[in-house]
Amino acid sequence: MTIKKLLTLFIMMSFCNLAWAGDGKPTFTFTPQKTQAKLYLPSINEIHRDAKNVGITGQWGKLITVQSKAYQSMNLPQRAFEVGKTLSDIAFVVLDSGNDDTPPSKAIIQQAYNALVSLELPRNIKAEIQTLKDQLETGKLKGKALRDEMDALISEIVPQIEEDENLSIRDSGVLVLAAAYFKALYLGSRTVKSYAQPTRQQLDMFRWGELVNYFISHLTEKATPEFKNSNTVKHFVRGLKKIKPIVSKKRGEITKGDVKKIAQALRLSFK
Amino acid sequence: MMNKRTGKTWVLLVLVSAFMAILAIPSISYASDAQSMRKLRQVKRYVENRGAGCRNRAHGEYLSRGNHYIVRTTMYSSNRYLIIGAGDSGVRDLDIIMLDENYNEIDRDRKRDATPIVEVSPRWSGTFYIGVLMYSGSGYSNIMVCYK
Repeated sequence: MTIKKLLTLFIMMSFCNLAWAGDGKPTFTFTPQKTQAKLYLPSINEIHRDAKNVGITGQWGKLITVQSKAYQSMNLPQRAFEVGKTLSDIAFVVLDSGNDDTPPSKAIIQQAYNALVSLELPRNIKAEIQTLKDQLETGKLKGKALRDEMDALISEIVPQIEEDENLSIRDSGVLVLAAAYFKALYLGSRTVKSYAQPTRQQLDMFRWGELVNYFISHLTEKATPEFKNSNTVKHFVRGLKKIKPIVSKKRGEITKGDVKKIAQALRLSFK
Repeated sequence: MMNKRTGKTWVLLVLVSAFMAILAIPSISYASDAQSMRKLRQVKRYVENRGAGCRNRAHGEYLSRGNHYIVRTTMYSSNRYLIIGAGDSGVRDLDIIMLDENYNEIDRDRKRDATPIVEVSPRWSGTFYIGVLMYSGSGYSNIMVCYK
């Protein structure tokens, strides 16, 4: 190969940001300024699994009470937030149940249904929810299949609402999702703050910087005035802004004191 | 005279083929995304049968050769993750590259195929980046995060 050809190859490689690796394939170097990385939210099931693995879900059963709520007397932002909290509670009750053969009680199914139908929903989602309710009532859905459906409800159906063209429906979806995620963070913080010596792994679980930034940004910038100016959203965003510096800390830096502050900041929205 | 006719026929054939190809492009690209999702669902079923759970949403884009996209996500240290991907029939070699919050490479798929799988056990909980690189070929690809 002539020097000219080698030079051309080198220039082409630099242009494409490629360099040869040991396995015969060029490696690719990602540089921060090149990235327009979209956020990929974790699933509720995944968060719960981690919380269970690091041993902090033991007391959640005592902290959760699934109550019936008068959704129709609430304004839309408050209703959406309360629906999110209820769905999250139900998901954790279901995810925590050790017995795979026991279907959830009819009362719990009715609670989930009441919560969801209190919102204005796109027609296809209403149909999906009705199908899910029918399957639950016949007791066909249980164990792992049921857990997966509950997870899908929050991770798949709610984000569909979040993408709706109707801005009120969209903002309701975001708020349902936010309430469901941060109920998990609140329960986690209440548990860990009571531990004498939480482990590093338990403390690092609270590194939720990406999620906090995403919801603050949506609720303060994109949301419609109806949502942005509601007391529910204002209280919630105030709590998120308080915890933002804590959950954005580097690994190994979150302390037990910080976890106490998280529980305190979210108390008003989740007590 | 015969040569002239053959030449004209060839030109006509090329023009008709080009026109048909242009007409076919939208349906091909639509089918490709669906095709990539179908393949991804097969991989998802494969990992789920081995005890993994998967996030319900996938992320996908059209990529031409040498291009990439990046997705940022939160991962948790006690979970073991499988990042799965699938490209349509136009994709020859799709790579997944896992990066930590400081853009240090943790792992990458090294196989020359259109269905990459990367397995990682994060040493800490926090932000991670998933890079998707169209190493060879072009088309739609989708990725999904599964966990054990």
